[in-house]
Amino acid sequence: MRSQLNVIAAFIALAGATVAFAAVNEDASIDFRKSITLSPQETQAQAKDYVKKMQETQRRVMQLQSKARKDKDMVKLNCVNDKLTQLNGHMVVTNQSMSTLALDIAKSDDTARQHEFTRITILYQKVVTLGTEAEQCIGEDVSYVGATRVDVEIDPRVPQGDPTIPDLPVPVVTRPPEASPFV
Amino acid sequence: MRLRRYLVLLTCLALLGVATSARAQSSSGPTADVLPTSNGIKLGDAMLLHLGLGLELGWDSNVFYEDVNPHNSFYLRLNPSFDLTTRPREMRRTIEFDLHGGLGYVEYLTTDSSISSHRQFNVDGGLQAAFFNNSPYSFILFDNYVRSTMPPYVSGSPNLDRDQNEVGVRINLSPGGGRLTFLVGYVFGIDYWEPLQLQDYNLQYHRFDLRASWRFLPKTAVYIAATEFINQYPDPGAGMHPNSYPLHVDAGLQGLITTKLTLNAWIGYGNGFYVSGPSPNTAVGGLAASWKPTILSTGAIGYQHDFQNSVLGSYYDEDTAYLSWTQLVWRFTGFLRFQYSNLRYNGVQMIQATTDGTDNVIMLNVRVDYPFKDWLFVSAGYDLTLNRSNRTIALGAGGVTPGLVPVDYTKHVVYLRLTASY
Repeated sequence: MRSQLNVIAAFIALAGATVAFAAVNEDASIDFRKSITLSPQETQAQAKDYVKKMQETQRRVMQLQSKARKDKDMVKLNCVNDKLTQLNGHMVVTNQSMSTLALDIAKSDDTARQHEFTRITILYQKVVTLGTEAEQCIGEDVSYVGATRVDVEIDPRVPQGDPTIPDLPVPVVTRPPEASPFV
Repeated sequence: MRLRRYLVLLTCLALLGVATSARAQSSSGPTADVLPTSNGIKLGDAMLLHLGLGLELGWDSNVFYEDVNPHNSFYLRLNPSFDLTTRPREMRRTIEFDLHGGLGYVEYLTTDSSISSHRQFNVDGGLQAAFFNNSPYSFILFDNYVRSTMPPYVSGSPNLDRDQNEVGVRINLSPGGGRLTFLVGYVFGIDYWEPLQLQDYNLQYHRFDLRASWRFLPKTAVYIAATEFINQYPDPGAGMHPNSYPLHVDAGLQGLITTKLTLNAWIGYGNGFYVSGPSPNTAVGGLAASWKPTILSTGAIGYQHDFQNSVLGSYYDEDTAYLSWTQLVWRFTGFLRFQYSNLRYNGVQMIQATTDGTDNVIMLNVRVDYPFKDWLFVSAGYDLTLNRSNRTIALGAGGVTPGLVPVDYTKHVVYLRLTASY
């Protein structure tokens, strides 16, 4: 009897852990099911936003490529080129999916629309990952989250300019003292 | 773009044309340093034009600096001015250019022609071009001109009209990180008296500067400096002012002591090297401190012991102390300054109708400013100038009984000024 109870308890615990794991996974990744609730217009707006961010990432990786080329660092350049090639491929696919998505919306084909949107979302994730990897190629992954900005606050009482440099000489106008012939 | 450049050039020429036809004794007009950076008229991508106009109505208790029975009069002063700059104050350019011009016209508002005939017409102009400011090796070319008109000490004598011009160059060498800075400078100056009877005192001078400083804090440095003058009087006439070659060698500290306290303290040696007559050979030194205890207040105090080349005699030894305070209260800015100078004249010649002696000059300035706009403000002020001297001057000719007259005077000036500077 005790062994049967142990089996039941273990089963319940395992089931609970499985549910909890699934919940954690839902938080860590994009909720594709959630997108089902998006209207056609919202789907298209969200897809456009993804594409815009992907294009920004593409531009950034191209900048990194230029930097690596300027630095004449072949290791970095090869690494960035590899990421950029993959990224460009994803961009081509994304553009195709955007066209198909627009067509699906026009036809009011919700299933097809959902499929294309899911594809664009996955491509977006891949591009973001490639962008991060390209930053790591150059060793500037910190700049991906924004370059360091230093704000300096200077006490307004501190004189501006360089007080250690004397002023330029200027003509000194003084009244001559009273004497002949200045009277 | 070409049209824009043409317009800028045309504006410059027009302004220069005005400037050369007219000046400012006490330059109460605005200067580029005090103009609000947000104001000004943009002339192209890089040029900014500031215009200023000062209108002052005042009363002068002693127009001719007399000891007894002084002549007093109301007066009207007009001070138009302009500043043309390539430098918005927040940024530095590789080449910076500043041009300033100002006029000062004073009309005495009286029916007494013995006073009104001494109206004043003053001009001041300055040109400055700085090259390679962002480089460790930079230089500045400059030229400053002043025409000053001052009423004489006796009504009926001609005004003391004078033209002064200085043209020069300063080379700044700051190799490495800029800790060490070397300045090399040269100035050629002319001091020209327009009345014929004063032209014995026309002066041409050369000034050579050499300065090395070590910046041990970002805005604080110790320095050693040497200045050599060559003073030459090309038309000595009866005045017979001796030529001289004054040398100053100073060492000092200049810059911020704290965020609130700025200091310039120096001590050194000076020798006049006058070719004839007495010549100074003395220690020189001074202190100038500026204290800003709050953002609304600024105080300054200073003292200087030195000697200066003089039109009276050969030179004068000088001890000058001053104290000033500026306070902002609501929208009013109050300014107070007191200065005392002890001037000991040496080498006075008989033809100057006086003797060696000491002038004690006290100056007091009080002023309150109120801004209606950031480009328009009104000022009310009071100036006191006072001299107590042990010198007397021998006067009397053409039927007047000769006599020794003290050179003391007391002068009060009260004024109301409206200044527009855009």
